[in-house]
Amino acid sequence: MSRLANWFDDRTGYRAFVHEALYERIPGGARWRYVWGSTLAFAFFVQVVTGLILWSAYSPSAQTAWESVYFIQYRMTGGWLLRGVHHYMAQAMVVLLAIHFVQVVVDGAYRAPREINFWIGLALLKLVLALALTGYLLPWDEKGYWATKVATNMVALVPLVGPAIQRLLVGGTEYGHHTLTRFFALHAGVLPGLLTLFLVLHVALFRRHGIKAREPYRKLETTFWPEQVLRDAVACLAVTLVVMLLVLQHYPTARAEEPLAGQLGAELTAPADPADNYSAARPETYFLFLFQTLKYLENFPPIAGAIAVPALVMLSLVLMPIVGRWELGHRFNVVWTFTLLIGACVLTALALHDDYNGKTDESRHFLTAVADANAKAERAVELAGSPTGIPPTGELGMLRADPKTQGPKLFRQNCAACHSHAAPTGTKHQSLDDIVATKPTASNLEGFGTPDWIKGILDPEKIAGPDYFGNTSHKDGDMVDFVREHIGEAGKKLHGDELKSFQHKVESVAIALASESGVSRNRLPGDPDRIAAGRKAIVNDFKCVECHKFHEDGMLGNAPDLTGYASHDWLTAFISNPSHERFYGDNNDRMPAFAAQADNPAANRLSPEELRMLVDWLRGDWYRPGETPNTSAH
Amino acid sequence: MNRSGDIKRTASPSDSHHRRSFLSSIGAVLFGSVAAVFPLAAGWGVLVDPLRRQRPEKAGGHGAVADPKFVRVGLLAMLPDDGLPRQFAVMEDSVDAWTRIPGQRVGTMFLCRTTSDKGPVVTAFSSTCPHLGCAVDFNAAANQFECPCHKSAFAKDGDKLYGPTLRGLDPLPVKLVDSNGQQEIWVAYERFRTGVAERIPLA
Repeated sequence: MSRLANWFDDRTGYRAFVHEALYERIPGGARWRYVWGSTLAFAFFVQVVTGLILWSAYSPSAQTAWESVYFIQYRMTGGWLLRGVHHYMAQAMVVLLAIHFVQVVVDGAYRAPREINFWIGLALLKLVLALALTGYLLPWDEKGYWATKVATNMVALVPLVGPAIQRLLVGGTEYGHHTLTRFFALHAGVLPGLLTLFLVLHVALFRRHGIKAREPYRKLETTFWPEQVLRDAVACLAVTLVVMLLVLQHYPTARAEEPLAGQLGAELTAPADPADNYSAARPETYFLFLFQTLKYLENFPPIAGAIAVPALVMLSLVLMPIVGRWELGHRFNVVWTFTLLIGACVLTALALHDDYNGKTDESRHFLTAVADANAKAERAVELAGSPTGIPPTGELGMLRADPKTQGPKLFRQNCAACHSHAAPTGTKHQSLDDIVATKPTASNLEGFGTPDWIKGILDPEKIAGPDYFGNTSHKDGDMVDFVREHIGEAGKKLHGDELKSFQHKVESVAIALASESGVSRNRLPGDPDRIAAGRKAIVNDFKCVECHKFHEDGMLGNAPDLTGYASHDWLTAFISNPSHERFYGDNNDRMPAFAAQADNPAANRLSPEELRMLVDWLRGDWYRPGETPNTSAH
Repeated sequence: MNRSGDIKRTASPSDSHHRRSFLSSIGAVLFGSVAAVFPLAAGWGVLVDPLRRQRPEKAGGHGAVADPKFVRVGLLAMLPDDGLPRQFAVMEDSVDAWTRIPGQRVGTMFLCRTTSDKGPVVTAFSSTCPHLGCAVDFNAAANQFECPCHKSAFAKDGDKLYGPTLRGLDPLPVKLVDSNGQQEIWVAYERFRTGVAERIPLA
């Protein structure tokens, strides 16, 4: 064995190399306070390994970046763990850098002859921050997209060359494929390459100068191996432990109804949509101090906060070895370091307080935006996991065609001037999803077509109320008269079992009518008899068909057709043209036709696709996990 | 490494040798630099390609009117006559490097309709905050546009109210076009440089 080792050493000189690497002198003995540099090197090693594995599953393009990261996070074995470790180790690295930096300054390890190594360290700091920034964009989710947009807009503020640099970074004037390919080339190639180079120089110079041992010496001189290596290894394990705790932080409060992979490790918000306001855009926590600075610089050009202040702070760090030549200068450097650090912490705390206090308007808007973003992210994951799966055009197309996501927006834009879509008037229950018309002049469409909604319109107390015809010209119409007389007055004459059976019959009408819509949630399962009885009551007992058409009975022209009431086809036709003889005809109040010109879609207010989503949303007809997609409706 | 050769040279230095050695150094640096720069030079064109490429000409939406910069947003009837800004998507054929997707939502803007003696007036603002490019919201309660990022605020007419922005919201040219007896809203959607006081279109 030793002959083989000798043979190898003759040809490589490895013994001298290993000796130099392991038996570095440590005056004053191994100490815990020397571990920070090693933990940083270890963190970088973790990032390289996890990053390369992530690379093996990542695809940088506008239609595949989010999709491939989704696949890593939710589908690949342990994908959430890999992403989580890479994400939180990046955060840990920033914190470790801060500790390492403070220690170097306090111990005076930046002073002669270590100036150049200090500057190399500053370059490493910049590289780590650049890695964090470029990595934030790669999932191409809303959060990273909007935050990075601000960052690249800040780059454009650099005098003279700023706009050109921005364009080279972005790969054009607008975000797209080339933004991703370029950021990825930087994040996975250029920056780690430079970081490795500077790290090698940093360690080589560190070895040349030897450790800046803290005096007074506590123990006898020792060597790097094994005493200090043991401490370093324990510290690295402690870092991994902290990172693992962060990765698993939401495990104890994980919600059972959502996929666990989505609640562990790094967050993945909905895919980036340039045409959707993302009001919860924030940078990573360790850039929040800069973010907060920008808010305060009213009446200053943004270049002050974005470029000038950070550049001056950086300059003050670069000058430290020169200032530190004098003892007073060294003291200044120490005070300045703590001032910067505390300042950054205070600004970060202020930024978090501004956002999360829940009292100011801004904070409430932010928290609502976060809740919206979370709901959208959840929905994106639901759709990606649906049997339909992600099409080649990407996940964004799925969200844009999803009634649950787009319905409320279309309703707000086209309907909410007159209609509400909210819990009925007078009920205490208030939901975030409620859309209340600014000036309601039409019915409340929440639950439209369901048995409960129809029961309401057949209720003499409610039909002329604000949730139904109260704010319309139908307030004094035949339907209100009918309900008051034939349901209200008729019911008052009855008592006991007769009244009960009458009410049961009215309810049967509501159930039968609701069954016309064909949505599963409106159908009462296993009660075809009740529906049949209701249908009979519509025709015979209440004689609805005197005004309404209902299947073979009645005629069009007086009141809306009840055949297929609130079905996909019925509602599409109704919204397209409520003045059609199948619906209100000449009795239509003020509702405009949204798609009356079938042969010329450009002349319509709603495109066929928008109309489909609006109708599906009103009917509650969208994909829910655990169901197969309902294609029968369209 | 030709160790023995080195020894010989140091043993018998001569002027011609010095000259040759000097020329060798020059040559080594020169040829070496060219060789070292070669791969970067080979890729330089691709690297700076975004600087040379112009934005693709807009296709002008569906059924273009005279000015190709204008895109059709929709019918005037969609926009209530209450002066409140409402957000609309900008539909364009989006071209992203190798991908071309027709009729995509590429951005958003606010439209606001009022009435004057001459008929309906529509104003349009880009949703992009002129400070650093976040998307502004309209806060109906406060009757102002607000940026959720760095707290800039703008009046309904787009003027800056407060915050770090240097200019007001970017207005977009609007045209009302008669088509099939209905009025349509057409807007020339543009992007501008952020963070500066002047309005510089991104070409």
